[in-house]
Amino acid sequence: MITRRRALTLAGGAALSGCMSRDDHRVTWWAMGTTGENAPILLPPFTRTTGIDVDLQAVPWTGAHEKLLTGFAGGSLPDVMMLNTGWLPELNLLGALAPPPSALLSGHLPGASASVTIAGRAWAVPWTADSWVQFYRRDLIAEVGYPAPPLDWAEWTRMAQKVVRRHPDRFATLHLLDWPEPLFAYAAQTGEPLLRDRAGRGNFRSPGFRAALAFYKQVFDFKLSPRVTGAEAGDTYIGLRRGWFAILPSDAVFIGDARRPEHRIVPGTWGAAATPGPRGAGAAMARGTCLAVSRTARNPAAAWRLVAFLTGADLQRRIFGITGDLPTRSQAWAMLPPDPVTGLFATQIADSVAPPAVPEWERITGEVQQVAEAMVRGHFGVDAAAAEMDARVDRILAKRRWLLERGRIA
Amino acid sequence: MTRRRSSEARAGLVFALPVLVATLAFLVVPTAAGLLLSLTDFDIYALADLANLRLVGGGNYLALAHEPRFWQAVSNTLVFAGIGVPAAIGTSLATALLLDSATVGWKPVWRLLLFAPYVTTLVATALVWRYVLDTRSGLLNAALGVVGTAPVDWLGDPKTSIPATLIFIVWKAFGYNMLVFTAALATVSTDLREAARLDGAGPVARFRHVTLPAIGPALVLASVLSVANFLQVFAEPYVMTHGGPAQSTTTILYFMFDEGFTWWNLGTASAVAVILFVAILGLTAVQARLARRLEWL
Repeated sequence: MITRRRALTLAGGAALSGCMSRDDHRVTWWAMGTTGENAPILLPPFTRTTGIDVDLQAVPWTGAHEKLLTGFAGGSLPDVMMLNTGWLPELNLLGALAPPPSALLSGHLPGASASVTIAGRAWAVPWTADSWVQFYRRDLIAEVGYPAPPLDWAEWTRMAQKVVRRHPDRFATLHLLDWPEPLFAYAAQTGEPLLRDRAGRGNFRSPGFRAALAFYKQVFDFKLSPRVTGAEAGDTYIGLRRGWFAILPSDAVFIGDARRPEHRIVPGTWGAAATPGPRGAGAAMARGTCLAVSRTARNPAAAWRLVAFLTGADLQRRIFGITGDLPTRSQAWAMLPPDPVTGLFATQIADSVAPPAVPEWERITGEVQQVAEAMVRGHFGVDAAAAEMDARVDRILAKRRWLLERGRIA
Repeated sequence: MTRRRSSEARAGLVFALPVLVATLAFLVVPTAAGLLLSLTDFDIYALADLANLRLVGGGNYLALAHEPRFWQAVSNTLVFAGIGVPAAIGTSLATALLLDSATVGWKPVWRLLLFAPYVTTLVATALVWRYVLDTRSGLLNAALGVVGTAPVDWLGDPKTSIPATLIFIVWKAFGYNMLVFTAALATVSTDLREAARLDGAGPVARFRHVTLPAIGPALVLASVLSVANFLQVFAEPYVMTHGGPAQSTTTILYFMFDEGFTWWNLGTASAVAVILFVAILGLTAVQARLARRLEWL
């Protein structure tokens, strides 16, 4: 006879064993941004061949960083996480990551491999490579007599002023005031290190950074870009399509987005050029994402299988077709259609400098951009802004200096 | 007799125990922990390895005193509260008085419509308001354009971002106090009003000497709660402006959230929490004392 208690025990046991067997074939994954939104299309072949279910959570980039830190503190990190390579030092410091099997690390572009390496050891598998370039409307640039935006600051400014003179209600470009990327892209052009003293202090008063800052300020002083943040600008693609501005600096996500029917950007109406530099285009700031496995993953073998699947050359090629994210494997690059835009990205990625590998980097870029925004809004001159940046960054790095002095960190 | 009293006391204690335990576990202990945390430099390095934690005493408080972003957050919060509290209570009281008027029909419908914003999801309504306040295609600027006013960059200009956010907050919050006032107004005796009218009191005098004393306690309650709420504004700027432009809508709580959960500087964030706690406690004490002095409490 089955008593109620017995029935409950049985049911509980069944649920528990069901849970365990499911956990063996289940991997949790956080994927960010557009890639995360499109990730469900990639997964069915993986589940079919391996029998492993992937519990995917798409996370917008804006909330991703704090979600990862909170996830670590709360012990709820997923098995696999997609990371901005710039966040790797931070998560590595926390000891949140498991080192990848060496088989997954070969065959990537040298820059991509370097971006996941900290003190000689890789902590994630490179997944997408990226850079920062200017996408432009061919018609609006041609109107003022240029085939493409010039690559040195002086000539670029002359071109942009012509665009604005021709259409006083429009702008030449869009530098969103809460985006640090444009400023740091200009800074990378000057080749000056951004931190000094073993990355213990800011180096924002260096002549190179101040030159980049002055150019950035001039873009707004000459009204070449509207003074708006992302929250007000709304959909930047609509802005570009309507000709609110002629040049949209962006990473490779633009390539995928431009293809989407809802953005209605006609193929062939736009082109891409390298970020301008003081004397022609120089180095770019390395960007990209990687896939890491949490140290607390319940089933590391299954997690690495997912990473191996996602970072394979075929799949990287496929991702480029869906989102525009560029591959990190040389083999996948060979499969890309030979067009000038991917060619541009290839040279930019080969010519990138990595951002300083300190855990505070995300915060440093945020604070530097806050000062840059205040400068654009007239609260600082260039030199005062650079001094304020150094002061703020030195405060952020105070604990790092203390640890460096005691030899607790390298 | 004594035995009975002690057994009663024991029973009382048993009944109160669950609440006492919950208060201890969820209020007293976290507050004490926050206070202790505010004396340390708990940050991402300490999260990685507790050996990297330092006891800094009042260091976090001292650093905050020299932190311009903190002072900007304080001044933003004071602007939010300084304009927001009177605006919210004024709107609530005005609508409650209108609804109380005998000439208004369809009262339940009006009450429902005016209360609806309070119970709708904050994020959804904030998104709608972002469209309303949009510079190029927003409803508000379109309406102003009809009158001939140039478009205002509501959420994009540091000068208008707080007023624009406040319009939304007041719209969202006034319904609750409106209901409280409506209930209080229902207790005003009609006899008294009639008597005052017969004695020749005008509308202003009737409001001052008949209505106001009756709804006084509700007004004090509403002001205490509103001040506490406005000092803790967070979600609205978080959704509408991300604290921008140029940190013009970063409130104390937003600053604390950023320090604590975006950058994981829990030491600094706890110090901010302690300061806010003391400030709200002090303000509420002052309000309570003021209210006791007024005749109608």
